[in-house]
Amino acid sequence: MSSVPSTATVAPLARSSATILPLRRTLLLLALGLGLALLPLLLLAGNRFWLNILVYTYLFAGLSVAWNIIAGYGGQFSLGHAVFFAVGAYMTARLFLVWDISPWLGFIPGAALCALIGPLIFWPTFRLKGSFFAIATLAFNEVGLVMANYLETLTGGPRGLQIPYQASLGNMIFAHPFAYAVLMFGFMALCLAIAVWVRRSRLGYYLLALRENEDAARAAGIDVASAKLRATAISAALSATGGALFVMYVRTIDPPTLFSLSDVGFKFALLALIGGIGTISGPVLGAFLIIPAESWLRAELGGGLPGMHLAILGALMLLAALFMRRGLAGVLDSAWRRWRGRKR
Amino acid sequence: MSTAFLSVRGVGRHFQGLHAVEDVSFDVGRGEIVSIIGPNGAGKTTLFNLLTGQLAPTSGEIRFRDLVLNRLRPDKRAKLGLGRTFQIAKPLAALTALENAMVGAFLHHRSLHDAEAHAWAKLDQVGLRARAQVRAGELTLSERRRLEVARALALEPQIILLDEVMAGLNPSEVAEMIGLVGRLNEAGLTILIIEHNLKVVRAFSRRVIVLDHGAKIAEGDAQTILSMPQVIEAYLGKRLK
Repeated sequence: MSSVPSTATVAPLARSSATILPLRRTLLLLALGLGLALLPLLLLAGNRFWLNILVYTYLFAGLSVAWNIIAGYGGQFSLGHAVFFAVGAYMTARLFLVWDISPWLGFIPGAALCALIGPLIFWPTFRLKGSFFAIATLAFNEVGLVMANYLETLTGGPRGLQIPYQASLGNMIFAHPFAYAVLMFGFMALCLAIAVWVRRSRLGYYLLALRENEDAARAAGIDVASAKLRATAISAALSATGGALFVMYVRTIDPPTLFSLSDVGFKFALLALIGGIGTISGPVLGAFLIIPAESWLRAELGGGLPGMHLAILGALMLLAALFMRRGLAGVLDSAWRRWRGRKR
Repeated sequence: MSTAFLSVRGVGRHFQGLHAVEDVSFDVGRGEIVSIIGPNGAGKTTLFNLLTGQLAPTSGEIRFRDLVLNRLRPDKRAKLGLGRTFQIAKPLAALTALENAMVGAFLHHRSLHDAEAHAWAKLDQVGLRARAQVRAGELTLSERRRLEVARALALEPQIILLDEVMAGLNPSEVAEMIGLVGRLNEAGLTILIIEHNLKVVRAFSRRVIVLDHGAKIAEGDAQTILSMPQVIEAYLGKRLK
């Protein structure tokens, strides 16, 4: 039960800047940011190699934004979000393969299921703080991997699932990656819109408050458990939606792909950490820096030094943790403030 | 049937063998201002934590507006009208002063706009308007203390529990804080205050409760209490014979 009196303080995982912008300016910034993010799509429309990278960039930007809702705003550093990603992917693929349900509808049950099971499986772990919470959620990832291998009737087991190539709008299968890039861009925009809405809502303030200090949050009338669970539901449902889009793009999935730590579970966190955890734009900035860099590194080094790109990414993360505590978003924010200060 | 606003009956809290608070009873009437004093380790903060729900009592009963609070979570008590500050100020460091106050204001104001307007009013009340856009982690100690009060006030409480809000302040800041607490009380807010500074206790208190080793050893008006031998003994130790 309650062990230590109120003097115990919890070190928050992350610090972020926070000033309330008027809604009009927030929406303007959001539109501006989305416009900027759209530029590469228009410039690279003909290049399949870069379009493929852009598809992943948009997708993982959206996923990292979704992760950031509970992990960044709420400070609950989950490493288990791959479970939601995988549930979304398997559900959508299964519904499509067995009942021929269009992924445009097929993603909904997976998202709804994750909005339910997310809070359910996180419930017991929310008693843990900081790294202990992260480690416990990491275990979800491993349990998920084992279960995906075992539940053959649902997941196809180790052999995985293959979706035959039948290009059509209704099937969400397209001949050209440009269509996927547009789709993933839409997903990223949706995640961003929801993140902005959460951040500006009572829930958003409650998440920031409980991240900073749970005792103070409770004393301010915040139902801490409920706030965490609601944020988890939103975050998990969006992750499942990302999983659904992912499976329709790659059309072949198996447990090691979906539960890969370096490519899925840690990736959401890595992008947000480098971009600026707890900020709205951070995860997107992180994705735009890391995903292309990673693909490039993999292509350049893949042949001679397999795995080297991971070592370089790891070093990057270390450097970011040491010298860029507030991420790219923090660096930009400070630069902006300094520039405005000089102008005055 | 007591008519007291806040009524504490035989409340105790044990930590294994340690009796941090034992068999404490007192009443606080609506609109009253009551001080709790006692030497370090007397159980004052533990008593506060029992009242606000950070800790559950192992014995006794706490009633507020005729509701038994014993098992209620802190956030539920806040909704009932119990506001508090912490002895070690707990500013939400990454949030601005304004946002800190907004977090409290959201309890009764759902929309961002209303909560913000309300938070501004509370910052005005504690004199932090000019510092509204500064992150709480960058505020001075005195400002943090006032911010704690503002966040608690933003809950629109019926009673506010102030845990050593004067600690670490310089004399002019103390005078300011005394003024603030006095004004709040005059405006009708019931106040329960833990205080070490006897000058502060004299400034308000019609009624003082003295705790020592977890038990209430005296209760009465400030003048009488502060001259009682057992109170002096608790603070300064026994007279040498």
